[in-house]
Amino acid sequence: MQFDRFGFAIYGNTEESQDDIRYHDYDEGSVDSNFLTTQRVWEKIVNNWEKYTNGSPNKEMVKMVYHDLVDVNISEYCIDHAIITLSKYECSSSIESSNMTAKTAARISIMRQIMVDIGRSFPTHRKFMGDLAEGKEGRAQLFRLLMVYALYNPSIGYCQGMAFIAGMLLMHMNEEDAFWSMVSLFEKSKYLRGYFDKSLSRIHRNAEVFWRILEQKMPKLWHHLDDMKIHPLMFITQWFMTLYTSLPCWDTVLCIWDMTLFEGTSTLFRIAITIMMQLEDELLGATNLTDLMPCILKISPKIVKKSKFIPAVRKTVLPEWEIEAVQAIIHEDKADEVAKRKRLEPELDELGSRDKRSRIDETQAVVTSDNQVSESSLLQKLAGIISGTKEIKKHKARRTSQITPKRRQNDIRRRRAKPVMIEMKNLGNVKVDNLASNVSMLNNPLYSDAKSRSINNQENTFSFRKELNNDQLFKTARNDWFCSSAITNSPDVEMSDFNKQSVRLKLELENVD
Amino acid sequence: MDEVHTTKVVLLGRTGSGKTSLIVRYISSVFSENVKPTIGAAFSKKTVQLIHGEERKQVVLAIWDTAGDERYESMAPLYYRNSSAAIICFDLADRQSYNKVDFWVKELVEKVEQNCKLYICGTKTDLLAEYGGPLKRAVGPTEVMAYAKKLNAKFVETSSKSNYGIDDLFKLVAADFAGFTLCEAPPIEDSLRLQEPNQTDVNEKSSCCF
Repeated sequence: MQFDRFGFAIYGNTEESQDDIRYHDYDEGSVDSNFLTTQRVWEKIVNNWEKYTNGSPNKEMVKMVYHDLVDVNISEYCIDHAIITLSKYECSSSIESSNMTAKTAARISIMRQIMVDIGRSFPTHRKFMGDLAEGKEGRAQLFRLLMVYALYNPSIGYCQGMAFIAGMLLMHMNEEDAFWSMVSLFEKSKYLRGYFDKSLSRIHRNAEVFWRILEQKMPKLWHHLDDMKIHPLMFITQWFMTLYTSLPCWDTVLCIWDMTLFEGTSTLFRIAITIMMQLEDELLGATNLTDLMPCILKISPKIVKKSKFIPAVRKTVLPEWEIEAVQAIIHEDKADEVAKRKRLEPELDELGSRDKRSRIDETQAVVTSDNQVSESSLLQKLAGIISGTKEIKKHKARRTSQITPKRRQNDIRRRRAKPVMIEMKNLGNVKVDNLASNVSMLNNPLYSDAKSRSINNQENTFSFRKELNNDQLFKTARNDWFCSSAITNSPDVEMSDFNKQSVRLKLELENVD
Repeated sequence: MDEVHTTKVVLLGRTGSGKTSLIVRYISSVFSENVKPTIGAAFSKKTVQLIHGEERKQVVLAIWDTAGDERYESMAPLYYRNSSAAIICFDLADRQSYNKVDFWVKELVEKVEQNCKLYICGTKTDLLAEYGGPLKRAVGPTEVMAYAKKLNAKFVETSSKSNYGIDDLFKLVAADFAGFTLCEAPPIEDSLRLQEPNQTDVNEKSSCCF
């Protein structure tokens, strides 16, 4: 068996190759050195792990859980057997013939689910494939990682998609470090917090945001897709929730990961928009859904080849504030809808705990019934954003290249607040209070947290501010925010991934205290 | 010139029940152990030729393969809405996955997808003891058939590994959509014979009435 430089099996022209999504013809040149430097940066991060994890949560606890799992011997060398055993336990628990508690039953169900998935996560990568020791151990690690996480954070548990992220981490670091990386990836709002929760709330919100951004940036394509009744969740779910590991070119995937770790989830939008740009002609040429869907869902290596795709990503301008502003608009629209509905149909209140599956239906129903109203106000709001963009361009031009970090930080805050301020003007006096709190949210990476909380509990927007005053949280968030914005906005035009990563690392270490 | 019709088909069912393998077998005629979990959904299409006397029809099956993880259930309406057929899969050796069938049936009935024909598909026959596999049936065929009859659904059994019943299933879906009737009974009759039919047998069964 032959493997490519990233460890993926090359099947040649055998039967398996038909099902192999990986493209092995990588671009020559920078890849190797890039890979090495990425690894070096990872090493540094790992060596300074104490600083990142801050000693809490309790490592000992996690170690204990690991040992337990290894002792049970369930993970190591008998996955099929384990699946069958677990299924059996799962069944008997549902029949209530045993004394199993609900908690145990739930755990067994999660275990079984993970077992089923680990055999098919990166099944062509040497670390996870085959019957040799390496593959078995790789799968065992993957199992332990996911299972321990499910125990560590039961409110999230396990969700399909996580295995790809855990798998990627295991390709680059040891098990325990991979675990802590996973914890920060899944729990920091800058990264994937909310993507895997029980209602998958964040991806639903992201889909709406992406759709509006696409409408604004590529109206022709947007109309074309909309006419075919394509919903963004049909494709961005796969992209966002596996951090693009489903793309065929692995060198491109690594680059995307670099950018995402550096800039946070706004990169995910940037990549998605870039893919749409690259696909635009092909998609516009497709006259029906059956021709169009395969182009988006099975992206050809031609489209995402690193030498062509990554420069295109760098050219795509989609700053974080723009995404957040769109998010705020949608949030406002929702609040409006809720208020309107409350006025019109008070009985709907009783449906507070309504079935989550009907949510998509209902949102659409509301949109159609209020079509005209929401459309015109949306236009107004978008106009606000666009004029905001112009303001910012001017603003940026005025900026001198020698700004102190402190000034730069304030500068950035002002720029982020601006579009929302403009939007406020456009909206007149409607809900200024609410918007003002949105502005303060926008200035903080904790924003998405606060937002999800305020959606859950419309009355209680103040809990967010209380949390802002909590020194520790605010400090970390501010440091995070400062580092990333300082680098993204630095006058050096095209920094390589390596430079960005190491600068960020340096800055982050400096700002720890 | 043949008439061409496109129809939307959706696959539902518990995680690991073999939905993606079924599609991969049908579309690419291979069985792969390397089918990755479906995140969100996947899309495939295949054209089925139907011949009925003088009448010829082409049916393009636009097939949505959905994620089995319960958390993705909130997205399912995107895929089953306006489907003309729903294939609800369950693993014949896994009682839990059979229990999930009822969930999807209720969901479809509740959301008033009245034009959506239901197909209940028991997967992985190759794993059953009666076909020489290691596992016992978790649910008897008479139970499933009674259930399917009550719903006016069709019940088929398949194996993606040994390529059993799959072409038949999709031919049946296409023929039902086009209003054709197959002269042979649906493949469940085969499975009740409790033996694996050979390749040529399957091919004969899949032809339509003339």
